[in-house]
Amino acid sequence: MSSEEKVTLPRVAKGPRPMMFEDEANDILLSMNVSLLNELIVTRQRLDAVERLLDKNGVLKQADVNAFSPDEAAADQRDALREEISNRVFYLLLQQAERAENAVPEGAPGDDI
Amino acid sequence: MADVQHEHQMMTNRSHDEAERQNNVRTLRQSLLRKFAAGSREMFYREIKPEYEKQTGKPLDDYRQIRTEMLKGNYMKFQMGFHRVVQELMFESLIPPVEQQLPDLVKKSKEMDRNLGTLELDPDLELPRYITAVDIHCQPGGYTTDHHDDDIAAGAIYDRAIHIYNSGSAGMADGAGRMITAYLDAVFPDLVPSRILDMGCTIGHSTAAYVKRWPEADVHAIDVGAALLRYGHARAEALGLKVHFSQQSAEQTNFEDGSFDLIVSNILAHETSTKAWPKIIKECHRLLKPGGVMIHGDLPQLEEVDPYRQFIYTNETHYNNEPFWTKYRTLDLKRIAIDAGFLPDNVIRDFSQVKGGKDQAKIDAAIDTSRATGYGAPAGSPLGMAYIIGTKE
Repeated sequence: MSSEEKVTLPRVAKGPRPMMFEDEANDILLSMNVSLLNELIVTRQRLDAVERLLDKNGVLKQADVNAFSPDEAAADQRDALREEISNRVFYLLLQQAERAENAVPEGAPGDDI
Repeated sequence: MADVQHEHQMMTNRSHDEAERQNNVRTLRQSLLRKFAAGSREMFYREIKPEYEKQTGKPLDDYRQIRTEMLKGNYMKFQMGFHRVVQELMFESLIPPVEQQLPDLVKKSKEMDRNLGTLELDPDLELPRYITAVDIHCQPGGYTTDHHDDDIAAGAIYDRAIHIYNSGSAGMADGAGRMITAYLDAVFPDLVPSRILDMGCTIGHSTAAYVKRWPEADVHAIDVGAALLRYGHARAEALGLKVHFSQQSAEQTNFEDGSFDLIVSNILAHETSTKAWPKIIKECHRLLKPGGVMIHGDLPQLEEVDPYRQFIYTNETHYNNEPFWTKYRTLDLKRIAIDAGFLPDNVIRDFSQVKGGKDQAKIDAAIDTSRATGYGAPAGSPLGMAYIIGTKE
C-alpha cells in the first residue's frame, strides 16, 4: 500500500471490553451519556467561539445574547424546538409509551387522564 | 493556568471541534474522574471498610476482597465504567484527524530530516506477543500496526494522547525523562554519560530530556513499533533533537557489549512479561560499561503501597488492556537485577517522592518542575515514580 492512499484506521481496541454492570445495558447507557456530554460541550464551546468572534468583529455584542428575549412567535418556535429535542432523546421510551397507549382499549380506567 | 501542549511541525492539526473534543476528554479525565476517585476512597475508608470489619470481624486488607466489596455498590461501577468510556472517547477524539491528514503527515515526516539523528527499521523483527496480544491502553491498532511502509499513524495518535492522558504535559512532554535526569543529578552527581540508551521509547518524548541534559552524548532510543519510531524520528528532527532511533526489542539488541554509560526506561517494565523483564535486565547488564548505570521507572510494586491503592492500581488491568500490569507488580525486581549479574550492593530500589532520600531537596525541586510541565506523582501514589537502579561493577 502506498503512503499516498487513504488509510482507514481501526476504531476498536483489540482485547476484551469489560462491562461493569450485571446488565450491560447500563454500560451502554453510560457510554451514550458521556459521549452525549462530550458532544454537547463541543457544541457549546463552538457557540462560545462564534459569539466571541462576532463580538470581536463588531457584529453582535455578547451582552445582546444574554439580554435576548424572544417575541411571541419566536417563543412558540423555541418551545417547539425544546420539545422536539426532548422527544428525540427519549424516543425509545416514548415509542414504548405509544405502543402501550395503542394497546389500551377505549374507555379503560384512567383513559381520561 | 492554561495547560497547552507544545505544537511542533509534525503535530496533527485540529479543527475547533476536534480540538474541543480532545480538550473535553482531557477535562473529564483530569477533573471529573479525580473527583469520582476521591469519592470512592472516602467511601472505602468511611463506610465499606468499617462496615465489612464490623460484619465479619476480619480486616479488609486484601485488594481482591476490596474489589469485591467496592463493586457491590453502583458508585464504583459507574466510576470504572466512566474510566473506560473516557479512555475510548480519547482515541475516538484523536483518530479522525490523524486518519484524515495521514497522507500529508507522512509526506511531512519524510521531508523533516535535518540530518541530526537517524532512523533504522527492521522489517524482520519478531514483535513480542506481550505487545501485540491486545491493544495496550485501548489504543485501536495498538503500537505496532503498520498500515504501509511509511506509516506514522500510531505515533501521531500517541503524541496528542500524552497530553490528554497526563496532567500538565506541556512543553515537549518530557517530564518523566526530566524526573529521571533530576534524580540522577541528585543521587549520581558524577555520572556524565557519553552514550545513552532509552528502551521502549515510543515517540521519544522522554528521550528529549536526556538529549537536553547531556547535549554532548550520543543518545539511542529503541522500540518495537515502526510507526512510533518513524513519527518519533520526524518529531525529534522537528524539535531539533539529535536522537538515533532503531527498531529493536530490549530483550536482545544489536549493540555491542559495554556500549552505554546510561540505560533508561520509563513505564516500559509493566508492558513486558515475566519472561521478558529478566531478559531485558540481563541485556542492560551486557550493554553497560563498567561503572555504567541503568534506571527503570514505573509505578510502585503492590507491597510498596497500601491495600486500597493496590486495588486502585490493579484496576488498570481490568479497564485499560494492561495484561502484565498486576503480575509485574509482584515481581522481586532487586532479585531479578542480581540474577542478571548486578552485585547486590549495586542494586537500589528508590522512589521519586520518599522523604529523607539522598539529596531530597534537589529531587523535590525537580519533581515540582516536572509536575508543572509533565509527569508528577502517578494518581494515588504517595511514592511518586518507583525506580530500579543498577550500577555495573
